[in-house]
Amino acid sequence: MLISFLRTLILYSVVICGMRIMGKRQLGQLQPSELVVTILISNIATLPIENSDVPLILGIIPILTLMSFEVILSVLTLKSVRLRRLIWGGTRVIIKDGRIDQKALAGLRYSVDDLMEQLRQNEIFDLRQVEYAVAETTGQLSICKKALFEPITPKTAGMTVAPSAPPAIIISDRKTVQQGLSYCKMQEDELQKILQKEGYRPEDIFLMTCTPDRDYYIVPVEH
Amino acid sequence: MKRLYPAIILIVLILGLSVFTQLQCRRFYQEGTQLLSELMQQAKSGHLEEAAALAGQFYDHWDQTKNAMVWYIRHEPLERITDISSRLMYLAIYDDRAQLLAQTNELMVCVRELYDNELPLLRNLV
Repeated sequence: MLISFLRTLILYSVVICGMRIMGKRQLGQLQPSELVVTILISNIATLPIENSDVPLILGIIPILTLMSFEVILSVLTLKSVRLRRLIWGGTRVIIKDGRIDQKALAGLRYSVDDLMEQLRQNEIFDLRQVEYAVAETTGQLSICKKALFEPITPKTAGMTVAPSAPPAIIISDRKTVQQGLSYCKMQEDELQKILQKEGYRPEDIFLMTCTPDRDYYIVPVEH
Repeated sequence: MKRLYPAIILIVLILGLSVFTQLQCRRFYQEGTQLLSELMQQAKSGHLEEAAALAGQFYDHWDQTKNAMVWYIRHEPLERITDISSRLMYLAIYDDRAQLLAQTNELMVCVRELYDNELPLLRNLV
């Protein structure tokens, strides 16, 4: 029983390290080869966990090999467009100038239902609003709406808007976040002054966000 | 790019480890087969005391090798060799020549299969 526990722990650590080495891409939308590697790793890891007759290294070696080849392949595809097309495929335009390319749709084995589902996921319920739609290599649909249906932006309205940096978390659940402080170029004593001014102590704050322009927002702890 | 070099190093290490295990298997196969052949010769010519000594020698040799092999070979074929090799010495001591020859032959087959199954041959890949 203890052996099973320890083997699981070791393989869990190896898989976590592998996913970290492969990078954040692996955790987001997967390319075909990345999906294959992820499925394979999860399957291989279960073999030595289930069967203690299988040496642990027979699970670790394939995982490390897959992980290494995935990294090498991603570097090679970064350098070579041809290899990238070969391994990951290319994008396909399935709606062009508001017209559905039915051949492209059939080539991708995309049904009308799939297309409508993807449009709805992009908050489009009327096909006539779409100017261009591109099927990405990850299977996701990227959509460009007709200009008529685009929301008004300050640019289209001819307004000038001062750029503003997004807020960062300064205090999270009573604890000061140093990364947030350095993002806002704020010292601890300045933070203390702001909290004093607002009548709080750090231990009274559930969440505090702030921009580099000192535009802050405080959520106190509920007692 | 910073991940490329650790990945290449890892591949080289894995290949190095694979070659090392291959050599370890080959060495055991060669030494083990030689010992077992001698054992068979002694048994066939009726020198069972010498055969018992060789069986003991093989068991000691296997005992050391097994501890390294459990790291990378499935345990089942290793346990089979342990089972058979533990009997040989007593078969020789108590004069059961027929069983001794049969079990030694079986052990030789097991040792050869252990080595063959580790070779990167097409039959092992398919």
